[in-house]
Amino acid sequence: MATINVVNVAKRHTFKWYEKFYFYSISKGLGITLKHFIKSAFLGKRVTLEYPEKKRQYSSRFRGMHSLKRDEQGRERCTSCFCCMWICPADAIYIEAAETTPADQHLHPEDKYAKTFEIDLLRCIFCGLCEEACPKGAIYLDGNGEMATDNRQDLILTKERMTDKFGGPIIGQRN
Amino acid sequence: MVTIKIDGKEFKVDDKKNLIDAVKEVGEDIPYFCYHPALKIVGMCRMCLIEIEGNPKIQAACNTPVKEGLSIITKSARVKEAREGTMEFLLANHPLDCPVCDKAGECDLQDNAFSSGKGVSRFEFNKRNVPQEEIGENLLINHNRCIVCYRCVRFEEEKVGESNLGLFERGYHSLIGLAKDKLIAHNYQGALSDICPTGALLNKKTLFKSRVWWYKTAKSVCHGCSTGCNVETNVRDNKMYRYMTRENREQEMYFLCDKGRFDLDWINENRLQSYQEKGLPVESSKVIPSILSKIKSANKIAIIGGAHESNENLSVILEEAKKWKKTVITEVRVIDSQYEAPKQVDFLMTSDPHPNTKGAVDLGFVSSGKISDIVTDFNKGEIDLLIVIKENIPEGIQQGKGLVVVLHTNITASVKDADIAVPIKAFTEQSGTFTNKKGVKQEFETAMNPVLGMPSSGDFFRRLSLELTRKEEVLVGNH
Repeated sequence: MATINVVNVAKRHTFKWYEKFYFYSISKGLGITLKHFIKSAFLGKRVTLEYPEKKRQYSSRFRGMHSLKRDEQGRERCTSCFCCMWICPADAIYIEAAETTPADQHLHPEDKYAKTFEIDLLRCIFCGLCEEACPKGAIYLDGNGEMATDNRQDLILTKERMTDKFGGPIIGQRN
Repeated sequence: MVTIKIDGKEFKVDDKKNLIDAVKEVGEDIPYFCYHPALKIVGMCRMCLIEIEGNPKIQAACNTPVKEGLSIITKSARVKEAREGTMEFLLANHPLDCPVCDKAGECDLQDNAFSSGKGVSRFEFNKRNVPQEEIGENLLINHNRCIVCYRCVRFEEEKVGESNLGLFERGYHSLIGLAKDKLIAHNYQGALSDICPTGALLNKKTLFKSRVWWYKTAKSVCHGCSTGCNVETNVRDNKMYRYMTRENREQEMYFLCDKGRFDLDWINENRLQSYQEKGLPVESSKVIPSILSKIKSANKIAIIGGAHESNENLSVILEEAKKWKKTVITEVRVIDSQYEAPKQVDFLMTSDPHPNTKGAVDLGFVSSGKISDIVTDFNKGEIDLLIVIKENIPEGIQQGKGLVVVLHTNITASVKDADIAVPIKAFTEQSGTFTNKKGVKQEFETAMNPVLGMPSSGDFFRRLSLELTRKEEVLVGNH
């Protein structure tokens, strides 16, 4: 093809007269190495974090392990409406609903509660859609992200492991 | 057929229908709660308000007669304001129960509030709170959710014939409650919770089991009796959860009784999933040769039952039985109520609990005598092979006189007593037709997946014929 109307959009770096000297360029590179050496050896500005003595601070919106909240009277917020189970893109949540008996009215505000609430952490993708979908402010992904175990059974979160032990604010909130 | 105008466009509609139905047929939509095609018109919900040209006030569409030259407006600002106002009134005392209410997903109030409601509420006071109570053996009423559409009371009085429910107090304090001291115990408690447009009336049997948007639906026919009400099956994870009514205007089928609606556990549990010999599981290759040798040596063969099977299966059975070239007596009528015309137990259910008696009788699955004649012939030794299709083994059959083969879907007492038991597919796992008591053939679709390899009753007979007519290969030559 005939090359007409060609515009050069990227200019290659052309060396200036002093950059063509060998020692000038070498000493420039060595200077960067020396700068980083002095920073890490003498000034203490190392990037490596000494985990587990020191841990990184995450943002307030970080999505970690799931937790089920309680309201200010100590009752569980989850009323087993199935919104989170429906919206979970990975099918990680399994819920069974049950009717509240007069005996445990102090635990459940409405006449339906979650008898079984299991989250399979091996399926969960930590997208946070369940936290967004919950109409009661019951489930939040505000635990920490350290969930390593050595067997598959421990990675299925049951309701006991997830529920907060004491009451919370009037509107369900993250930690 | 008369011509009416809807929003300026002319349509031809049937003047015997109600205006709401006529408008729905031509494609427009009028929201409603208390109107029901099978019940008396009351005009209590005020949701179907429309403007009629020539009338200064807005009128209820359910109570407007369809006449030649009627011109209605459904899309003006006044009608929109009326609908929003009615919705706001209905929602004023309605509790915020959608997360815990079972009706979510199929609730008329949810659907109409979304399509014609305003979206915000101006009610800043305390909502009235009346505790939930049990008013039937299978029925719960939650008074807070009731919008007083009166459908339940009308249904009880007009269709069922009892008057258990009534409307007490008035205005803000209106309550639907029991008019008598006893709990409701009739056969239509499931139908009551079906027609309730909100979650005020609920079934105890299906309470909190599953949300409705997870169900896969299929068109089917109820198996409970010979009326053959049209149903929609709700299946989730290959388990049958419930039946919902499917309206059939031509046949005037709008409701479903409790016997068919809740008699579904046999489809999910206790299924027969292997061939059995005297109650112990066995492979088919071990028992089929004994059946085949009995067929070859038999004088007479009797096939009884079959009123639970579809017409297609029954025709295959008759066809294959002819190929055996033996005297085959077929009798579908095993209980007394199948010999006479079906009697109504209540306005839907009949005394014959088989869905396809008439279909079998029409296909010729009858003998010249009764079931007792077959039993005596079997005990005398004249009938060598008795095949029972999804029925109990008839009383009086003596063990050891001949071979008894039972085809069944569940493990029942007759399966344990039989010489050989054959597993077959339930009617929900195949498609076919049932003929109801009026002679109408109704189709049903496959609703669930059967266990792989499970034969239907027609497939089993085809296999028998195939094995009977299979020729042994004769090897010719030196070897």
